[in-house]
Parts: sequence; structure tokens; C-alpha cells
Amino acid sequence: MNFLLMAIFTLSLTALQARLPTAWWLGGVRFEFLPALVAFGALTFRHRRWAVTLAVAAGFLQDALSAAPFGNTMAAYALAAFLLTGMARAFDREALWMQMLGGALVSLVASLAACAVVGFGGGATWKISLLAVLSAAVTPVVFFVLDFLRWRLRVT
Amino acid sequence: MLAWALLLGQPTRVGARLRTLFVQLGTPFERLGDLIPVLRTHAALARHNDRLRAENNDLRRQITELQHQRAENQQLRALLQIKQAAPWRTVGARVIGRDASNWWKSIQIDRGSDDGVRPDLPVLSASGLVGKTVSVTAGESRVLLLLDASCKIGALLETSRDPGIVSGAHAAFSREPRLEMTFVDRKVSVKVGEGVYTSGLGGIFPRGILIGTVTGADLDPQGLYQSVELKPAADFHRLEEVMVIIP
Repeated sequence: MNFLLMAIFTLSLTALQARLPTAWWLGGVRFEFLPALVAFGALTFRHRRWAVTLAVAAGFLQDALSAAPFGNTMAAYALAAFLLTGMARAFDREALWMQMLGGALVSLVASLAACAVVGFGGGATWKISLLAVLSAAVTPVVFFVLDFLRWRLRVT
Repeated sequence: MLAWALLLGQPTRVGARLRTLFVQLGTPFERLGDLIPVLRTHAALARHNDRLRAENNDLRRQITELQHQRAENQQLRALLQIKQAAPWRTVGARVIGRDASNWWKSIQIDRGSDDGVRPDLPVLSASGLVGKTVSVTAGESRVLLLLDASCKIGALLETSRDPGIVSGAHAAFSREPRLEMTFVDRKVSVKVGEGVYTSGLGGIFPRGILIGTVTGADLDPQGLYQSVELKPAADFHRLEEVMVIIP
């Protein structure tokens, strides 16, 4: 059930992320939901391997729907999930700002991996920061929705 | 009662006043009776109104549908004109998705290797160059847009025929996408509004496809070159149908 829920949620969030238009008032970027999902997995799952598996799936999905080199985002998300699960004990999962920090960290790692390919010029620092802030803002919402669904569906 | 009725029936002053009084009292109530057909008509009108509303909604939907079809038709006609005039073999494709990442600018089209599409083929819209295919599966392909900084195209200025390299320009908080043409000789006079076309160098894009129009030039006093700002010819906000050139 947990697997099914996460699979459906991952696919839905990827589709939503790909469908959302970029907004000029957001600096020409769109909201990213997958970093929040990766942070959720890393701070929620008991075993590191499940968190990394979720990160790999989310990364591959994003790469498949992007012109990014296939595996770039996957590697970044997997690394972020690995790091976050290592720090999970230090993170209070229920604290809002900790969730935000987790989402921002995943976004940061993914952005750095992307910049390693596209380069750091042309306002990359600004874009990295903006995406980290947006991911931080989205992460508690994703945590809330997934926690609610898990509670409603009695998934452990 | 009979006497009373006879009394009232006589043209006496009391009778006349009483009649007037009752007429005045009774008339408004009598007029209420007029409302009965009105109420009946109101129900019919309400039904009629509902029917008209439904019909109106249906017509509005049809108009929207027709407007959409007309716009699509215009786009397809324009593409067909290019297709007929172009010396290359082309494959028409529909845009089915955009890029999920914020770091790349690409679209997904519904044609793949089954239709003869392969990586590094130019993609056009009715108004100009769109980009090139980068990854291809059997039924779909991903097209890297001109707007992506990693998509570099050899280009020529329309009047001076001076060469340069066009790529996407980073433009945060800009409503309109912009391109940048770099490595343009600093001595060349660049006119605002002149067209920029593919040069045919590089082996991917054929010569003479419109990329965009010049909106400004930035001359670095220390540099050897000037960079030219372009407005792309293709409307990337409303990209629905494109053509892949297959050499």
C-alpha cells in the first residue's frame, strides 16, 4: 500500500511539475515538487534504501521529462536522500522549518548537479537560491498531504 | 336582503357611493387575478430561459471550439506552406509536453524514430526556428529549444551577412524570451528590426531559416566583438504544432 501510494504520488507530482507553467514574476522558474518528495522519503522511511529508491525513481522520472542528461537529477536526488537519511536523527521531522530545510537541501544538491552541466553563469546563483526557497515553501505542504493520506489509508 | 338589494340597485347617492367604495376595494384584488396567467407565463418563461441558457452555453462552447480550430487551422496552413516551399522532407508533430526541470528548456513532440526522427534534427514552427531534437524514442522526441543556453546555432545578420552564434539569453523576470547573438564583429552596424537567419554552418540547421529579429546591440568598448539581442521569431508561449526537418 505504501509502495502504491508513493508510486501514485511520485507520478502525480512529476506530471504536475512538468505541466505547471513558468511564471515571469517567479524569475522565469516553476515550482518543483520532487525535492519535497525526496525530503519526505529521507525523513520518513525507516530504511535508507527505500528513501534512496524513491529518490532514484523521482530523479529518473524528472530526467525522462527533461532535456537533462539522463541520470543527472537521479544522481543528485539519490545523493541528497543519502545525506538526509544520514542526518535524519538530527532532524526533527515534525518541525516545519526542518521539513523546509530538507526540501531546500535536496533542491540545492539537484541545482548544483544541473549547474555542473549547464554552467554557473547567467544568474545561476540567483536561480539556485530561488529554487531552494520555493522547494522549502512547498515541502511542508507535501509532508502534510502525504502524512494525511498515510493516516487516512492507515499506511505505516 | 331583497329590499337591501333593491335599494342598492336604485340610482341613489348612497348606492352610488357604496358601489364606488366597493369598486375601489375590489379592483386591486380583481387585478391580482391578472397575475394568474403571469405566474403561469413566468413558469413557462423560466423553462424557456433555462432552455435558452443551455443553448447559449452550447453555442459559446461551439464558438470556442471553432476559434480553437481556426487558430489550429491557421497554424497548420502556415506550416503546410513552409512544407510545400521547403526543399527538405519534413514531418509534422504536435507538442505534447514541456520540460520538467528548471535548468533546461525543451519540449516533447509526438514523433519519434518510427517516423524517421533522430537526434540533432532541426525543428521549425510556422514563424521560425524552434530548436533541435536531442533524444528520441520510438513514438516521441525531446526538442531542445533555441532559448536554452546550451543550444548554439551558427547565424547570419540579414543585411551585413555577418556571422555570429545565437543561443538563449538568461532573462529572469522577463515576460518575453530573448536570444543572444555573440561573436559579431564590433565594426558591423546592426540595425534594430533586421532578421537573423541560420548560416548553415555546423551541420545541423540548413541555411536560411529565420531565427529572430534584432532588438538591440551591446558593444563592449574593450572587446573584439559585440553581442546582439534578438527576439525569437517563433512564439514559444503558443507552440502547438512544429515540423521536424529530415535531411
